[in-house]
Amino acid sequence: MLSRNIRYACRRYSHAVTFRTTESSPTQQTDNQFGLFYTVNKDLCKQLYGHGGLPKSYMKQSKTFAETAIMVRRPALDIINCIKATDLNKPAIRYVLYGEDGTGKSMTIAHLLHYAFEEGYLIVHVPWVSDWLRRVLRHKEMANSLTREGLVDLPLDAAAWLLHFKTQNQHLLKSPEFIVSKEYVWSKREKTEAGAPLHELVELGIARVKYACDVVDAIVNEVKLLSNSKKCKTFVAVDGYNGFFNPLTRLKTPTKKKVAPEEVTLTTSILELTKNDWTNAVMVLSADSIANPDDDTKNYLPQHLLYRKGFDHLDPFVPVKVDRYTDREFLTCANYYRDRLWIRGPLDMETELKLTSACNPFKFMEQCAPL
Amino acid sequence: MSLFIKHYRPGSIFKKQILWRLNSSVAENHESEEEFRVLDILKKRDKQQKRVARRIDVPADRAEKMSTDQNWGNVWPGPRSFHPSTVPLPIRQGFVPKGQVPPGKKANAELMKIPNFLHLTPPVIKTQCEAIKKFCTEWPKLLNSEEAIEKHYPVEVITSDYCHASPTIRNPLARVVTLRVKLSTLNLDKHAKDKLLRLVGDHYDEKTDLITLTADRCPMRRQNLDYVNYLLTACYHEAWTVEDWEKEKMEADMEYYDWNNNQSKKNLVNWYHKCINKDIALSEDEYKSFDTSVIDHGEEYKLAVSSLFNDGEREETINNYDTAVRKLLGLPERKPIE
Amino acid sequence: MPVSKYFSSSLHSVYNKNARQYSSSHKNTTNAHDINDQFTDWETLNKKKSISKPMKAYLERAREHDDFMKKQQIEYNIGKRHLTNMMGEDPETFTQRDVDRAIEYLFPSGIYDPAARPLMKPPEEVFPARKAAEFDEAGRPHHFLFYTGKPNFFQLLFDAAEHLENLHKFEDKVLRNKAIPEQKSKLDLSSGVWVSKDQLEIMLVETISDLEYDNFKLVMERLVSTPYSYRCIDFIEKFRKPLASQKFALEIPKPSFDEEGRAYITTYECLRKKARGDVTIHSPGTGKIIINGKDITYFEDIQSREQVIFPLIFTGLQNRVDVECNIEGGGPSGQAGAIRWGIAWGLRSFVDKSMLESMQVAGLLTRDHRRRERKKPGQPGARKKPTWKRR
Repeated sequence: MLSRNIRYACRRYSHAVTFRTTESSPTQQTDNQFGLFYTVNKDLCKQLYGHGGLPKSYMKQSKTFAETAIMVRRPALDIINCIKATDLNKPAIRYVLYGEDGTGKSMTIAHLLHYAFEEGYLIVHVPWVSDWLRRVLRHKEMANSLTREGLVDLPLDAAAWLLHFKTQNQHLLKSPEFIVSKEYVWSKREKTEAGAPLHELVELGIARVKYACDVVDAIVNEVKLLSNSKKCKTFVAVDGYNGFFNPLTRLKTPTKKKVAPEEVTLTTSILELTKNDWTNAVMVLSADSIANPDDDTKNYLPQHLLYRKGFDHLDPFVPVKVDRYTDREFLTCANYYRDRLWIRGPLDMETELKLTSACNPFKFMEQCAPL
Repeated sequence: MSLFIKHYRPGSIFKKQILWRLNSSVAENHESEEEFRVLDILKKRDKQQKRVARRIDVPADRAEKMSTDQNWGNVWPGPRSFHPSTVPLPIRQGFVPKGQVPPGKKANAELMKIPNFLHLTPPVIKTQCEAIKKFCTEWPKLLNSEEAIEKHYPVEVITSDYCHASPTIRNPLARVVTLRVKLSTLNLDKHAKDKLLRLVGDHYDEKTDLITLTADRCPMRRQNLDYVNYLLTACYHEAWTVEDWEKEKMEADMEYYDWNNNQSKKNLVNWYHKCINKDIALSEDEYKSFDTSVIDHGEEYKLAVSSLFNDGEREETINNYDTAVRKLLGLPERKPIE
Repeated sequence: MPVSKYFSSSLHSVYNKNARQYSSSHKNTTNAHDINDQFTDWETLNKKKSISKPMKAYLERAREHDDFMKKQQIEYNIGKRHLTNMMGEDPETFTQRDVDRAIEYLFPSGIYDPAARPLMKPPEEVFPARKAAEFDEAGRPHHFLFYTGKPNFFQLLFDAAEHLENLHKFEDKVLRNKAIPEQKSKLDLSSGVWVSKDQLEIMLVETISDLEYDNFKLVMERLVSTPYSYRCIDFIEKFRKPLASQKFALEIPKPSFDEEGRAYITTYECLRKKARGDVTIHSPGTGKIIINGKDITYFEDIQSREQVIFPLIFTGLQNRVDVECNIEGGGPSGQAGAIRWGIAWGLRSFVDKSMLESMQVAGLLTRDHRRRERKKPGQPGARKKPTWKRR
C-alpha cells in the first residue's frame, strides 16, 4: 500500500517535472520554461477572465481539470521580450497575432494579459469582437446614437464591457491618479465633473445603460490622455480585431437596413484606441479567420484578414505568427492530459493523435475529448 | 424408314434413291437393302420428286477467289458498309451466352452497323500520301525548334474534328475555335499592357503568359475563327488608345502598389514625427515628397511593404515585413522556433 | 434321325457361313454374289444389322465436325494472310495480338463489352471444345468408363484412388523395412487453392454438378493428407492454383532514386469510388504528408485523416517516410481511401515479407472495387423498396 502510494507519487512527480513549471509569474518566465504549463491562481483567473478572455472550450476543460494551466509558448515569450525591450516614450507599438484556426491566439492573449496585470498595466481588453457585431440574439439592443448622427449604439454590450473593464482594473482604478480631465454632460441632471475619479465614470456607465457607449468613448479619450501624460501605462488587447473591418455585420437597424462596422460607435472607439498617436502603451491584437466566417478561403495571413483599410490603419505593426505545436510542445501537452487522466491508453496513441490532429492544439483537444 | 428400290436387275449394281429419311444425313447403300420394297405402280414418287423446289445455285463468293497478294486498295477504294462476300476475313461479332459461338460474317447486322476503315489500311494511306506529296512543299528548315516556331508564328489556333459511330458526320463541337497567343510577343508598353489585361480579364494565365480566347457562338467554324481574330485585333487596338476618363484613375484602381502614394507612407511619416516629438500635419504632396532615407531602416520598410502588396501575401513576404518593422521600431529580432 | 441332324446342321452351317460372311463385310462395295444372297435371304437381312442408324448418324456427325473444324482452320489461315496483305505486314511474324490490333483498327466499335466486339480468332478458341467420337463403329466405347456418362471426371477420381492405394502400399513397405525416407512430411499447400468448378469443367470438357465438385475436392484433400504424398505431386499440381500473395513477390517494384539520392516510389492509378490520383513515397524522410500541395489538414474530418495515416502507423514507418500525393475527383472518403491504398502499395517496396503478409491480411493492399449502385426505377433507391403491404 505504502509502496503503491510512493509509486503514484513518483509517477506524479516525474510527470510534473516534464510538463509543468512552478514559475507562475510571466515576468519571470524565460526560455527555460518554454513548452511547459504553468497554473494561474483561481482568483486572478476570475478577475482577469471573468467576463470573457479565455475560449469557451478551454473554460470547459479547465473546469474539468479543476485548474487553469497555460502553456508557455514562443509567441508569448517573443512579445514579452519585445515589450521589455521597448522604449515606452515612443508611440505605441502594435502586435498582430495571426495563425491557423485553433493554434492558440486567444490563449496567447490570455497569457499576455496575465503578464500585463503583473506588471501593473492598465488593461483595456475586448474579449471577442464578434460578440458585439455578429452575435445577434433574438433582439439586439440597439439604439441610435445620441451624440453622433447616423451611428448605432450597442448599450448592453457597452455596459457589459465596462463591468469587465472595472473588474480587470479594480486595483488600479482605486489609485487617486486616475481622474477625468474634462467635464462630461450626460443630461440635464447628470454630469461628471472634471477631476472626478475614473471609476465613478465607469460606474455611471454601468448604471445608466443609455449612455454606456458614450462613456466608453470618454474612457478611451481619458486613457489616452493619462498614458500620454505618463500617469499610467496601458495594455490594449483585442481578440478578433479584423471583425471591425469586415464589410458587413449581422446587425440590422429597425428599418432592416444592414449596418456596417464603421457605423457602430463601439467600433469607432476601439479604432481610436488603436491608433498609434499616443505613447506609453502596448497593443496586442489578433486577426482570426473565425471573426470573418463568410470567407471560405483558408487564408489566415493578416493582410488578407484585415483588408486594405485595417492594414492601412495598423501599419506599421509587428506580425507575430502563432504556430501549431512543435514535437516537444505536443509531448508536454500529451503528458499533461495523461496526468489529468484525460487520455488513457497505450503510448502509440500519441503518434496517431499527433498525425491526425496535425499538431493543431485545438484539434488535439477536440480529439482527446471522446477518448 | 421407307426405301424404294427403283430398278432391280439381277447381277448388276443398281442405283438407290433415298427420298425420305429419319436419322442419317447421307444416303446409305446398306439401308436400302434392308427396307421393304414398296410397289409403286402409278409412279407417284417420281411426281412428288418433281414438285420439290430446285435450289438455285449460288455462285461462290468473290472473297473465295481473291488471292492473298492482291492490292486491297483496288478492292475497297472508298468508305462502304461492310459486305461479307467482298471481305475475305473470317470475322465474327455478337454477344452470345456461354458455350455458344458468335455469329459469322454472313448476314451479320452488327458488322454492318460498325463503321469500318477497310478503305484506309496502312498501305493505302501510304499510297495516298505519296500521291499528295507532289502538291506539298518541304517543311522550312529553320523552323526546327519550338522557339523558332513561336518566334515566327506566335498565334496558335486550335480546332477539333470528331468522328464517331453514328450515321451523321456532323458534330456540334467541331465549330469551337481556340486562339492562344503569348503576351510577350505583342510588344506593348506599360499602359497598353495594363489595359489589355483588364480587357482580357480571366482569359489570361499568368503562369504561362498566354491569352486564350475561345469562340463557339457561331454555327460554323470559319465564322468562329473570324470572330476570334476580330477579338484579338479589337483588344490590341483598344489597349493602345488612351481615353479621357482614364486620367481619373485613382490609387485604389492601380494594379500595383506604389508606396509613395499610399497610406503606409503617411503612417510611417506620422510615426516618425511622433517619435521626434514634432506634431505637424503635412499635406498630401508633402507626404509624397517626403524623403524616407531620413528615417532609420525606412528604405527596408518601404521595400517590405511594397513586396507585400505587389508579390502577394505569403509567409516569406510577411517575414520580411516583420524583420523590417522590428528594425524600424527597435525591437529584438524574432528567434526561430526550435 | 442322324441324317436329319446332319441336314439341319449343314443347313445351320450354311446359315452361319452366310452370316459370318455378311458380318465380316462392312464395306460398301459388295460383289454380285453377296447381293444376290442378301436379297434372297430376307431373314438374314433383318437379323444382321451391323451398324445401327443412330450409330451411323453419330459417326457421321463426328466426322462432319472434324471436317468443319479443318475447314474453319483453313479459312482462318487464309483470312490471316489476307489480313496481313491488307495491313501491309509480314505474314510470318503476325501474332494473334497483331491480328486483334488490326481488327480493332479496321472495325473500331464503340461497344463497351469486349465480348460483343468483332473478333477473329483461331477456331479452337472460338468453338467450345467437344469430345471426339467416344465409341467406334461397332458401338464399343473407347473409354472404359463411358457408361458413367462423365468418363473424364470419373477417370480423374479413379486415378486419385489409384494413387492413394499406391501410397498406402508404399507406406506399408516402408514400415516393413523400418526405413525412413527423406521427405516424410505432407505437402504444404497453404499458398494455393484447388481449381475452381468452371476451370475443372473446361479441363474435363464435361459439365459437373456442385456435389461432384465437392466430392472431387474431398478426394484431393484426402490424397494430400496421406503421408508420402510428395510422390504424387505432379498429379496434384495439375489441380492447384497459386494464391495472390505468391504473385506479389514477383511484382513488387524496385524504388528509383531522385536527385538527392533518396529512394522513392510512385503508385499511379490509385482509385476508390470516383477519386483518381497518384502517390509518391520518399524513403528516408521525416513523416511529412502533403496532399495536393496542402498538409494533412486537406481533410477536415478525422476519419479521412485516420485512413491516410493508417498504413504508416501499421507498418511503423510513420516517421521514416515522406508522402506526397495528388488526387482529384470523388469526395473526402473516396480520396482518403485512394491515398491509403496508394501508400500501402508503395510501402510494399520498403517493407519485409512478414509485414507484407500482415498488410495483406489487414486488407491494406486490396483495391476496393465497390462503386455506387444504380438506382432502379420503381424503387426509391438502389435496394430500398417502397413500403411492403401485406395486401
